[in-house]
Amino acid sequence: MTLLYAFVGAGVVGCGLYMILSRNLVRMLLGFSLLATGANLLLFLAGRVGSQQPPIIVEGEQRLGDAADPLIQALILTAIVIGFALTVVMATLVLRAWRQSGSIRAEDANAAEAMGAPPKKPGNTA
Amino acid sequence: MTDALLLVAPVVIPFIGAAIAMLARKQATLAAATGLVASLLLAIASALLFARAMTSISTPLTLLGNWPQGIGLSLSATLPGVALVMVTALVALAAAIYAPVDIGPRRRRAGYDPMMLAMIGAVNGAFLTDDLFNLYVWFELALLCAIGLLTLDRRPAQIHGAIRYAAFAMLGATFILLGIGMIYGITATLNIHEAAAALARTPPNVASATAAALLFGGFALKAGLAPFHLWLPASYHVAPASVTAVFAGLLTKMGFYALLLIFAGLFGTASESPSAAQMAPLFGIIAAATMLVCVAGALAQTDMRRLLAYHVIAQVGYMMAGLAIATREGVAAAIFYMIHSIIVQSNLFLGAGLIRRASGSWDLTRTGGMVRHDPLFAALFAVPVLSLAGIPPLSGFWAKMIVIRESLDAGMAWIGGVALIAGLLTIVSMATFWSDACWKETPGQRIRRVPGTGLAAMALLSAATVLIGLFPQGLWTLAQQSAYMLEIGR
Amino acid sequence: MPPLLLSLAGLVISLQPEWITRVALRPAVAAVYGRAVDVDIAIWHGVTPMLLLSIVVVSVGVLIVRFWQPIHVRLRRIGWIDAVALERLWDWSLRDTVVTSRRLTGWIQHGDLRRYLWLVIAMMVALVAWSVVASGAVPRLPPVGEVRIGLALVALVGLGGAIAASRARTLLSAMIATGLTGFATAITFMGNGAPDLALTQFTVEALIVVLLTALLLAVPLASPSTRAAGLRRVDALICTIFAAALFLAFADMTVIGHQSAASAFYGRMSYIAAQGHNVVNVILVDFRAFDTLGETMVIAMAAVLARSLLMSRGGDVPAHLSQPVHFSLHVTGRWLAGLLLLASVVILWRGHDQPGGGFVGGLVAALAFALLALAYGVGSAERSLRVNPLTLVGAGILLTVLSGMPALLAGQPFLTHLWWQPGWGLPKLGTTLVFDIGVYLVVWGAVLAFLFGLQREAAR
Repeated sequence: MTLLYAFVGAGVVGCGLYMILSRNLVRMLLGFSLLATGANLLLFLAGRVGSQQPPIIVEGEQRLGDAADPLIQALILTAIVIGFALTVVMATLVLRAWRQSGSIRAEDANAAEAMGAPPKKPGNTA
Repeated sequence: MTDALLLVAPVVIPFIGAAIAMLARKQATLAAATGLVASLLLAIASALLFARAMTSISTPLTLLGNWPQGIGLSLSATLPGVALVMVTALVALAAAIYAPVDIGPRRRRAGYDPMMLAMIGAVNGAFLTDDLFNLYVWFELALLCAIGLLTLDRRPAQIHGAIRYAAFAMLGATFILLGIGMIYGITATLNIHEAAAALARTPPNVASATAAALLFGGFALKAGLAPFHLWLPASYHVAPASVTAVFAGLLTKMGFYALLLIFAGLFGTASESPSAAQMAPLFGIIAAATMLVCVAGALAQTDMRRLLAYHVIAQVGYMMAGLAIATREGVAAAIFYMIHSIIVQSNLFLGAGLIRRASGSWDLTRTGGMVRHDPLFAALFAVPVLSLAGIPPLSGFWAKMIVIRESLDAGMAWIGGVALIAGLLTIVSMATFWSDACWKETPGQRIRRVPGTGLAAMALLSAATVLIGLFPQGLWTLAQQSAYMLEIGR
Repeated sequence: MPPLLLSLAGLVISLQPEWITRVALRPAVAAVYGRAVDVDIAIWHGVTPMLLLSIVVVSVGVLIVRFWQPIHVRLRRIGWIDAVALERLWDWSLRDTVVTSRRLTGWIQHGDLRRYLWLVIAMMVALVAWSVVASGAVPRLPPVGEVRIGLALVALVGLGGAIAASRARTLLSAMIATGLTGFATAITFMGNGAPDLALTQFTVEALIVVLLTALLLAVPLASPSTRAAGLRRVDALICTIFAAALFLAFADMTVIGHQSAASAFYGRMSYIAAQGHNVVNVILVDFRAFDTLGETMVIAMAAVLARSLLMSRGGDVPAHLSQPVHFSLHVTGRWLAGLLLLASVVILWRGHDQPGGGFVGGLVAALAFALLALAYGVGSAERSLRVNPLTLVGAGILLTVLSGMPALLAGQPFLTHLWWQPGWGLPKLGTTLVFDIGVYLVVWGAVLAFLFGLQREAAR
């Protein structure tokens, strides 16, 4: 199963990267969401796929028996939530850009680089 | 003052300040007051922490949650972290004093204070933490706050700049996350010191090689090293001056600190048996490329903020050169440069903001006349300009000289040569910058008065630069100690 | 005036050098050499070559001043000096440097975001390739082991969803395919012993769909490919190489023997020392609470950003005007929302011992209000909430940070959680619950800030 999950995780990351390279900002956004999901899946492998037992101490017991790695699960949970926050923030930015400039194409979102750009002709120097 | 309180104060004080500023967001003056008070308290706490770290025999350490080391999270007042916390507090205080110049009630209500305070807290957390994943969390917090501060006015340029910034940063963060996960998978620990020891024991393998590359790429992106630097000139100049000043001073250096921690600390590139030796040759190439490309970029600009933004990255190139010189002195040179650069970069942006206030434009063709109309400002501004150019006796001279000297000592003279060429170009750039921004007189130009709070903030930072310049020995000793501690942490 | 002052200062200093030597020169030289060096400055050292040189220089200077006019007339007559014209050389090389810099920068910083990101990914691939090849390591693969057909199929569906998303023609189908991958991942987590992860992933996917709908309603849904076929192939190639590298790296990683001392500790001590049965939750709110504190701040700052970027006013957006809603939702909406809210509190409460906790609780609470907003409109939902979402967030942060303070007063490190056993069969109470409530409030408030804002934007 490890090989399969590594394959699927890497594949999802690859698809996410492919979508990030699109010129459509919404596709890029969805690509980031896929990237995060794929990364979380790969992260899961770091805790080793083995036991299917959730890391919850059985009632009456004092310690955990053989179970999945709880530490990596805590890390992935944090990563999922942070990824969610960033996805939604990016969506908000794209929505604002759409409202302001009427375009979701990346090349139209260049007001930042156009601002204060040096003149094309070599005018004022020293 | 117990260690436990002092070590968490640089993170907790800004966070509590952010919470209060958030609850008080409707009243702009209350939010502003919270920001200023929090920065003051932070400065005091950081100074106390620094003093404690310097005077105690063992490194002050707090085990959060009272769990054993390596099991729970811990914060330790090692060098260079605690020195960087001190410098961060200085910059934060200067920014808080300067803020009334360009942060008005509308920007305050949009959330300037909570986001700025949270970002400072995140930077401090990164400087003090011992845990890899904790480091990642602070980077993500800083990223989010930066996006928020970039888009304070909701202007199209800001939104577009933020999209570019966010796209790069999220990509870099994913690389870092994958790298950290892989390190955990290899070493079974997230504590930097334990992981370093475990890595030193494992023979070279594909996983750790990939992890080294991923972590390098991700943090190089955050630090702004070429060719991962393209986001910075695309976004830093859209924010108000006080925001860009803090970004320029702290965020890239946070990324570089992580590079130091990972490569000098975790992988031990400056030691005798580095775990990721294959990455070392790349450092020099990337450092040289960054220095040259970015100084060229600065020479091309006519907008003050864009010019200074390029210099920010060029300076990171110098720091990287220090790391590329794979000796302990090289790392120390990088740390010295980092501390000098934080103060100088922030000061430059604050000054640029004041020039804009005075002359009404960011464009260098329309500025000027500061020397005649406001000599005090010109004197204060001359300090960071000359320091960046590397003119003695200011901090920049020592920083550049140390980097070049260490490169010669380590037999990597070509890096020293590139640093010299970049330094020459920097002098040219700063000379034209000074002449355009302050010296030249345009007939019929109206120069407005520069606010006193802005001058006060600049005075604070300029004084620090002059102090380092006149007494570099203290900082150099500190830098050498830092390099040593980064290494023996393994 | 300033030149006169400076030269006077020079004269004074050279006549009385002890002061400047002590204050500035000795420390400076010591700094360069790294050790103390004896520095001795005086006006008269006897008749030395230096003194003779000084006399020569001063004499030449006097001569130049005396014969200023004739010297310059002579120089101007010599033609080739003008041709070399160092001044013009300086100007010209400076201008050339700037022009070259502009061209170079224009070439590098071309403004096309896609090409920037492509460079980053390609560079990353090159770095990984270099690192692996130069380290001389050979990739190893773990043994195949047992294959659980059901989970294997789910995982492959996830991959299929990702591939479908990258080839989708419309944004809506791309979003649905992405959601499919997310749900498949959640089921994968569920099947591999990670119920907390599965819960969180499910709720997050559901919320992303709800929140992104606001975005998708506004933008054109049909979006033809923005890249030419050749470009797409190059992109696909780079991404495939990167994915292959990740596959090999992670597969290699699993071969290494893995004994996590921390996880063993958590398994042993979660109940005994931290009073919790759900080890993952105990890690989040106790063992690694500082991480969660940071993460909570991330969510809180996202809320501030939402408030600043999205419409916070604009009047009520009646549900029946924004999107058609079935009347059954109208009737049962309030009950369903109340049920969800109750469920969220239960999830929060029992998180320490069973799957759940502050995060999922907050997300479910936000879902409750999402339902209200869907059924009755954003304004009605906001009024039901009574407070501003940012107030919830601010209160939440204070709770999380303050829950770690009592420990400091007791002389223990920050975030050491304290417990109180009230007896009489009542459950134990601890500062972990305060921490978790803080997380709950922050997540709830932040998601609502986005929800209300995005729904208002969508209905504009």
